[in-house]
Amino acid sequence: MADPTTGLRRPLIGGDKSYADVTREVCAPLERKSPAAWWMTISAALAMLVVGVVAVTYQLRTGIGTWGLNNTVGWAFDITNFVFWIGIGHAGTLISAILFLFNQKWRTSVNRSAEAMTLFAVVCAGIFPVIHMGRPWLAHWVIPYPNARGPLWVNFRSPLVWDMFAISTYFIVSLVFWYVGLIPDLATIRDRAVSKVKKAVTNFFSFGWDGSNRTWHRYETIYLLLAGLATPLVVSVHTIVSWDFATSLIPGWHTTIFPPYFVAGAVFSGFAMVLTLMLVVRKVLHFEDYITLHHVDAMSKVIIATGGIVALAYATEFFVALYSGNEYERFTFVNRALGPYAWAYWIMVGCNIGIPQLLWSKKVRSNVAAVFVISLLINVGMWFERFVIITISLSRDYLPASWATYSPTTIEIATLVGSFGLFFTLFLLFSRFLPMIAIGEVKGVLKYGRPDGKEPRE
Amino acid sequence: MNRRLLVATFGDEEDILAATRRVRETGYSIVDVFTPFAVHGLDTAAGVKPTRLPWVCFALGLSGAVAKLWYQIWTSATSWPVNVGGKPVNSVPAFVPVTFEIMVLFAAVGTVAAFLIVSRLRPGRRPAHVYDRTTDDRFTLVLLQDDAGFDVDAVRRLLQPFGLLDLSERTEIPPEKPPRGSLLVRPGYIGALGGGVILFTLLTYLTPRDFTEPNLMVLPGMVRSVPFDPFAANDIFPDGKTLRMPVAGTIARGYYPIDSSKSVEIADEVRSRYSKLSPGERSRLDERALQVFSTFCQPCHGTSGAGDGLIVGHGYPPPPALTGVSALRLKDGEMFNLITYGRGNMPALGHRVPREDRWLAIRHIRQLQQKAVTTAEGEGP
Ligand code: HEC
Repeated sequence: MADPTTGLRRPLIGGDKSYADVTREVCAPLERKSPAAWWMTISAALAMLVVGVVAVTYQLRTGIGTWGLNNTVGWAFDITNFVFWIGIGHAGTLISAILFLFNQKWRTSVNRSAEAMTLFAVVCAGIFPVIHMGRPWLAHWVIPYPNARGPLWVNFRSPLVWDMFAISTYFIVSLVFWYVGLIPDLATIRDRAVSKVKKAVTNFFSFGWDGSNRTWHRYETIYLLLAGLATPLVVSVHTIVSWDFATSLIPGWHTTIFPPYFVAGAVFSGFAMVLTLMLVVRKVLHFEDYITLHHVDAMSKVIIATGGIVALAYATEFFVALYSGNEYERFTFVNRALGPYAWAYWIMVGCNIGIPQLLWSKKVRSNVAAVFVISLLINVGMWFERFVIITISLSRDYLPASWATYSPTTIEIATLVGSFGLFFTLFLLFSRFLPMIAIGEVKGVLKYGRPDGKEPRE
Repeated sequence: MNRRLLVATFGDEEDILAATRRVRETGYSIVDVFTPFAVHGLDTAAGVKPTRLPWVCFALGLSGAVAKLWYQIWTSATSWPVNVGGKPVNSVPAFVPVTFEIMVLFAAVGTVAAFLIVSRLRPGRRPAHVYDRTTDDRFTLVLLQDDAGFDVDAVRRLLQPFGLLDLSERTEIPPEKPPRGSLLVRPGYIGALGGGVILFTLLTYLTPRDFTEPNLMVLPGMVRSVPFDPFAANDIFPDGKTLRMPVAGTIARGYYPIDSSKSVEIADEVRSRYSKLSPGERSRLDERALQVFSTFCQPCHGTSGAGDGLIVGHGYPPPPALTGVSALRLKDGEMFNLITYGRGNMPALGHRVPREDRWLAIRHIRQLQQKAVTTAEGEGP
């Protein structure tokens, strides 16, 4: 991709900025008064959150019976939402860890917000299994601590226990990773702060960072270590989520393809969500020079690649069901495509396999509005993928006598709305109080591909 | 002891890198360099020894994994063994995922904690060194004026070509001891690692192998699970058996309590339920009851229950009249059991007539009896 005349690579950051420009521009949204648009969006997000809180409160007081579940379909909307949110989260870790290990410099502009997105998505995800317990006040029983009940331990052979460990580890490690990345930037804000309160607060949270080279040296080392740890972690998390299903015996769940299929789907949906958010952020906060069309292009390509894996996984599932000669397996897949929930299946296929193919065209990739719409549709499609896998498989199992259909109640829909409200509330607060772009990291790649800069090294 | 420092400020990444390198080559002692971002190569330029944090990470990860594996084995096999689907109590492959997660957790959190400790960073701490704009766009090189003959102008001349922006002197109380050197020298690690790899390769190569044999199986439990034998002795449970009895009061799917005395209670309950029915529902049930009776009972017992059904005409021993004294005396529950299991020439119909329908048949019989009684009274003297 080198420019033939200068031999330089394309700059990652546009606009010929100085270091001071970067500091100023990234900190600008935190230093100006919140615009009316921000107040409007956060009010909408809070309203959604309130809807969710009311729904969950009612559900907790009344019981799980307020959901549309029945004996046959014991997992439906809530677990769909859980897997959906966890999947969203994975793109953040992918950008911050895997792209870091692959030395993809363009990640610097998006990694901070993508990691924040991960955290918020995991928070949203975590709510669902807890409220699904029915008695969330006993949620601590999933933790194997010495207790007065025997001591009765958890069943370490159960994927649900693995899941608890995976999700909590994932949340903690993502939080730590994100915070470590924030420390130098918090110091930047501290040194710019004018008001006493802001100075004191940022001084507290920036841990006394002074930019010493020794600290930077250690910082770089642990950043690499964390990236190295987070990479297998993110793969393990969705693998374990898929084991929640794959280790059961329900036709449509009991397949060995699930772990890679789920991980690819997670990255696919996560990147779509990153795009959705970033396209809004770059427009609203005027970060066009940081999140350039080149970034949009690169992320679109990741979507094509992971979308391809997902399409392959759908095809493989179908083929294996046919080839296995197992009548239950075969029925399950025919039922997905032609049964009572066929509409959900075809939304999934359309949004996850059909729509992303548009991104092969360079014209579409460089059209921000088109990419935005595509990213939204992919999110819809990936939500339906989880719904298809979970609900359709459960509703038609081995015994026709126990077949049942499921439809969500208002409470369940309100809970989903609430989780979106929570996500956007957190994200909007983040955009207001913390730098959305990793200032230190962007400065490090600022000279990349510019005639006054050297070729960057590793 | 107070230190006299010389503070040189630069405005660019390459400048600070080249300046630091030059200063170090010339033999000045560098206290530290302060930069707004991680300048690559500055650590070697300033002569910073490689950090040992990776070892901390390794050690913590390893101890997390070992501790968690032990904990899972101990809780599942020793502290309270539970028979889960007859699987071995010590199912190590199933313990791998959680072991992995805890390894990552310990390694990640521990490394960051160690980093904060060695770098003396903690919440609320004030920055130890404050130089103007170091967190924005200035790169600061701090030198130690270690002897009396330290020549500031010589330094200025040395640094001028690197775009020196500012040079100033400062006196400072020594904030921290320079970190101690690494205990193990780097070539040592690499040597040990390389040696290990070579040794391992050699051993692998020299081990006699037979490719017709299956591979060595680590943890064969994944391939061939070794569950408990259902009928073998088992000391997990106080009674020493592997198979468990169902909990008292358990009713298997499709079965229900058949105790006659209980059935009477059930009968009462059913009756009370029927008495609450609306007229519409009641007539629907009556219809159903008639249908059941005419399908399953009428061929023998006859339309009115008199025992004059179709097959009796063909030589089947006639059943007693359902309107007779003995049938009148039968309780609902007894009648239910009689229909279910049969008696004498009355066949068992439990497997053919669903439970609800058997109750409905009884309802119909009671109605027939009622009718018979009313007619008899009407005819009476
Ligand atoms: C194959 C013929 C046959 C059919 C069908 C049949 N029964 Fe009977 N039933 C008999 C005979 C024979 C007896 C007498 C049993 C004995 O010898 O003790 C009898 C006895 C009874 C008695 C006991 C009467 C008494 O006075 O002790 C009841 C109640 C009864 N039947 C109800 C039913 C009902 C209700 C059905 C339909 C669901 C039914 N039977 C179907 C042949 C039949």
